[in-house]
Amino acid sequence: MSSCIYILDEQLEPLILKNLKSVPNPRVFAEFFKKVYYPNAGPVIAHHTGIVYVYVQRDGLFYVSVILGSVMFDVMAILAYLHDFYVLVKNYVHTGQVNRNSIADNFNLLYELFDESLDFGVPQLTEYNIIRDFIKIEANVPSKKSSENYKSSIDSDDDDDEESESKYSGKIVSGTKSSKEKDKAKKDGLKGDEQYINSFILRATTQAISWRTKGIYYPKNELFVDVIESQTYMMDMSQGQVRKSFIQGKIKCRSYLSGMPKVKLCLNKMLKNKELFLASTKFHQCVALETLSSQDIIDFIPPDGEFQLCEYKLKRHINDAPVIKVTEFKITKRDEKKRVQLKVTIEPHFKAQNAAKFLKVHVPIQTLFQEYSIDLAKSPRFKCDFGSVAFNVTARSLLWQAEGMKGGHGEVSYSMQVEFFLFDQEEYNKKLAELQQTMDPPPLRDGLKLDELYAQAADSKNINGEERLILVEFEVPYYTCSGLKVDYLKIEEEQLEYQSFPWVRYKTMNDQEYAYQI
Amino acid sequence: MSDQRIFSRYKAYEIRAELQQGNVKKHRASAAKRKNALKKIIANITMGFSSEMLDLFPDVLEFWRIDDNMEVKRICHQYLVAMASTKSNHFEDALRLVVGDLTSGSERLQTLALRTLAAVPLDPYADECHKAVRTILQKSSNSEKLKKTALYAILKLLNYDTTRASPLLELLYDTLSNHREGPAVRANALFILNEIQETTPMLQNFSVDFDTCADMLELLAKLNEWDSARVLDSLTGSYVPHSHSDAHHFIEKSVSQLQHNNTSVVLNAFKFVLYLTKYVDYLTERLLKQLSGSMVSLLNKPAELQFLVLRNIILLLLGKEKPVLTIDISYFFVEFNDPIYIKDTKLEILYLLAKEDNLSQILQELKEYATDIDIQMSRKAIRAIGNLTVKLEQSADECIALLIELLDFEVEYIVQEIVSVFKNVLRRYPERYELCLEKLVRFTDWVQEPESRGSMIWIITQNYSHLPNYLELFQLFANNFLDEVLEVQFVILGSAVRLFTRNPTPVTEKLCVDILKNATERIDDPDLRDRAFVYWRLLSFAQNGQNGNIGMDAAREIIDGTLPPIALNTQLDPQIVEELELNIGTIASIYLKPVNQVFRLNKPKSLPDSPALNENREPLTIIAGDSRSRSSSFIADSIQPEFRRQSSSPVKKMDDYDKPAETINPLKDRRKSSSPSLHLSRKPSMLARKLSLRRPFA
Repeated sequence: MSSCIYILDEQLEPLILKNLKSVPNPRVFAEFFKKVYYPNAGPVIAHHTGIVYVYVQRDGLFYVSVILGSVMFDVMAILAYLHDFYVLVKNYVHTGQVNRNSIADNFNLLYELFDESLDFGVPQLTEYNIIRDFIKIEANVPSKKSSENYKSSIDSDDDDDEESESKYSGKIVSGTKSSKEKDKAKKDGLKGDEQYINSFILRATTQAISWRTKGIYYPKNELFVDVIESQTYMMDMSQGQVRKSFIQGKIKCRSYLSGMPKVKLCLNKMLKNKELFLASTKFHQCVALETLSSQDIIDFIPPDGEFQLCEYKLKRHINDAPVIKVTEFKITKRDEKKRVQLKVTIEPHFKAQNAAKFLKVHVPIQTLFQEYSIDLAKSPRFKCDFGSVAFNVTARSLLWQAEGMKGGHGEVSYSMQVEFFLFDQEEYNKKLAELQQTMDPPPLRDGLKLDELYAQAADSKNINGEERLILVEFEVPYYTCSGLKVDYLKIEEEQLEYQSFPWVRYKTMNDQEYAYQI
Repeated sequence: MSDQRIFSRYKAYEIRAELQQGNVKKHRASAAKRKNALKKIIANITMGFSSEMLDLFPDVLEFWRIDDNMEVKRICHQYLVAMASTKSNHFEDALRLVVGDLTSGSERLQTLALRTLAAVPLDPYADECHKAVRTILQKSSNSEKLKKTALYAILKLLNYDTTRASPLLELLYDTLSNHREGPAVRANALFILNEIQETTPMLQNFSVDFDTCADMLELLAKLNEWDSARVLDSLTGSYVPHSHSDAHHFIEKSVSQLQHNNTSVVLNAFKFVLYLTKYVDYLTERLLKQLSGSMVSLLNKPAELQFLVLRNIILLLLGKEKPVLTIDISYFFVEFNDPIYIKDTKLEILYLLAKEDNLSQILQELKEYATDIDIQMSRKAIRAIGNLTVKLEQSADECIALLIELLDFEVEYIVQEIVSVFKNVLRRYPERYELCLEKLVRFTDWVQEPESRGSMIWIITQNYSHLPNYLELFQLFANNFLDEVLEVQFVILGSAVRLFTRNPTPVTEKLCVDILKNATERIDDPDLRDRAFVYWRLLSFAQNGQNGNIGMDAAREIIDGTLPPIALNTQLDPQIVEELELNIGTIASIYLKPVNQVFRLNKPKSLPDSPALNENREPLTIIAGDSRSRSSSFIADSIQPEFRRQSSSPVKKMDDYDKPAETINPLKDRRKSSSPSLHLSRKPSMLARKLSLRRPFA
């Protein structure tokens, strides 16, 4: 399929050229890409001479595959491969991003990875857990410090933040010290990986089960299952209409099991409405797909280490309350006091015994400022039932933050109020007149000069649709909003028959799009 | 250690010195140094300085001989492949080393050597490669990985010298049918056979029988993701079911693959299942649900993958009266952080999915987009509304109401776009929306872009009887005739002539003659000039009446004939759809054109014939549940077999007028800069800048 693969930097200069089909001068085609590329082009660019470029852009770099010879080919395979290759490289370099330097520093490793993952331009293998067994070159990462840095930055592909996850793992598995250590070891990167996780004897790529090798051994056999659901919700408050409401769930596993364990996992959703659930679910390659229709159990031999068992997307009924419901958004003008009051009320909808780990409500105030002339020289007043409110001048929004909010089902609600002073022409005129008459210098102002800050921020206009959206961010541990539960989890290893420790935990959070339109 | 310094330009002698320095002292530190120097060579080749690096050939060979380190070996092989096009005379020496590696015990080294042999396009290398492939494939003890590499080497050898390599095809067949081979080896043998069949003139009658197909599907569970995808891809078209029950059986077997996490596997499984459904007598509701569900869940993949999925959804929607997919429209609502190409495609899908019953929901969304801050998006949305008006006759009122509502926003680009769109609407429904005319005409001064200007002129001319002040309005454009863009000039010329023939008064005559004069005397474009001459001559012939053949009526008919109605056909030719469905996930699915239009050299695919084939493409009955008891002899007697391959032209040529109704044209960025409004607005500032040049006082 692919004739050559390139990795190009932001200026479309080649960093890596991998010639796969003995193309005479591969560089020419990398140069030519500059000519045919234009910003916002789709991922496939075909030139009339029969040269086709397929590319993905990740972290600013271009992963380009060029296909020569005007032949039909499976674009999807190439796109999927390029994406997977990026993920593979990311796993190797242990940084949140794969940038120009990490490529240049490890170009030899990258050539090896291409060699291993492709044959004659046809994708063969992109599973990190397998490849790392025979390409053991350590990635050349700038320094320890920056590699740790990535741990706190959120992985762009996976929405969940590793650090926060490990914290709450600490809560669940408190007492099992070793697992904590393991978590820590994982964070230290590859070294920890080798030291704690694996002591293998022999490995080979192609065998009956291609994602797991033989002879894996752990002193303590553990399987961590994380069910993470993120809710997408979009409601138009002016019309009271719900535009979008669905749940994207992922089941992530980390397996530290010896031998060839068979895992049986049963979800309550599979029992209740199996067809509907399966229709929207995608499983990892280790799951025995053919048995899914006949049994109510997900059967799999897990790969070693971290992997995503499945992801699913569930539609919700329009009347189902979202986890955090904004029930009120009101702007009232109080003429007698020359003030404008903004009030936001929210209602949690999850089990009362649970608590949201954090909650952030972003309330845009740009429209408010457009409608009323607000005098920021007098600082606004904030009040809320719970947490704290901050005024983000540059983003022109209010941020309401709270921690540990208790759940409920409509019986509790929390609200936040902000009062802005209206610009008072009479008073202003009076002041001006006074100033002109007296010889005193204008009085010194103390405190924040919000109005000036705001004027500065208003200069740099940011154009996006967000100024009409109340965005809500939250995270509720121990709770799945779809009600999904792991009913049954069993680990069997016929030969070793060890005792194993399965851990399951749940979490619900907001998706990127969780917003109320006002 | 930082590799940063490796990635910079070096001269050959510098690296040589470094290599030799490493050679003198034989201990560990020097080995690392050597490796570093070798890396520098590769880095320099990457940066495009291969000819400089060619001088180092003997040095590289020397290290190849003495060093056993895998990393060094790999670099040496890579160097050799990179130099393959140079025809250096060192290749003979190198060949010996490669063969040496091939016979070494290490599996990885063997694979590497085999790949190198196949990658160097020189006769002696090909000879060795032939030998190696044969021995490897015939020996059963070799590892799967090595065998797989050998299979791909065959593909390369075929590329290099087709006639010489063709005996190797036998080996492929043997591998495919050998049950003792590993699953991955057999899967790849199948893939390569299929690949050869598709890309070369060989193996025309390659097909897979029932047993092999069953075998391969059985193997799916043991294959890795990429191999599974390829097996499903290869089986499509090469396996032909001979009875309905065979097809049902395999659908059942492969449908579980729709659940896979790898997008490529899902699409290929989808393709295979869809292909098999052409050979069945009924479909189950459950299957249809599964197919739709699998597509929906692919929509939360990264943008690039999503794009391809969306394109394929369009493909499937275009096909039939009743599409295979039933997906809720809300999945295709545009999100503000979508890249532009996704937004485009989603809009197109919304347009295709629009029906009377979901229109209000779609219109509401489109209204949102139309008032979006993103101008491009807004324009596209308006265009989509216009197209919907043309598409859905019963709900046209609703769409028009929205357009008028948007018009009231009085934003320049929105107005322009609406005017452009209204041309089609008025053409589709003449005499139905006169009431809107007055409102539109109010914005005559607003339209600046060539397209909307042309469209405004057209609207005025066509509906002059409803506009009392049409001459005034037209005059606005006519006075500006010489300054207009060519496109608009054409429209003005045509309109002036038409106005005259419809309503021959002294005023219109003068108008018409003025334009004709200007067009013939002061315009440089030959096309426009010629057209003006033709009109002029035609009119003067008709008026003088010397030649009895052409009267005024005849001239009127020529100039102002009735326009053919805009016919809308969102359905593609069934034959093309059929071919596209065999090409799901490939490049043809992006362009939605038949394969040989995208690439001339490719063979068109078609459904192979079989007794089970649903010849007449009649819609299949869909039954609830799984019941298999239905007789397979279902034939709808009442349905007349439709004429199957009826259309003569492969693709419907789309006239200028109905073009937007079929596809939503992507707006080109170019237009923005060529828009006269921008030029106008720029002028004062330019002037100001010139004036404000700091000059010393004279």
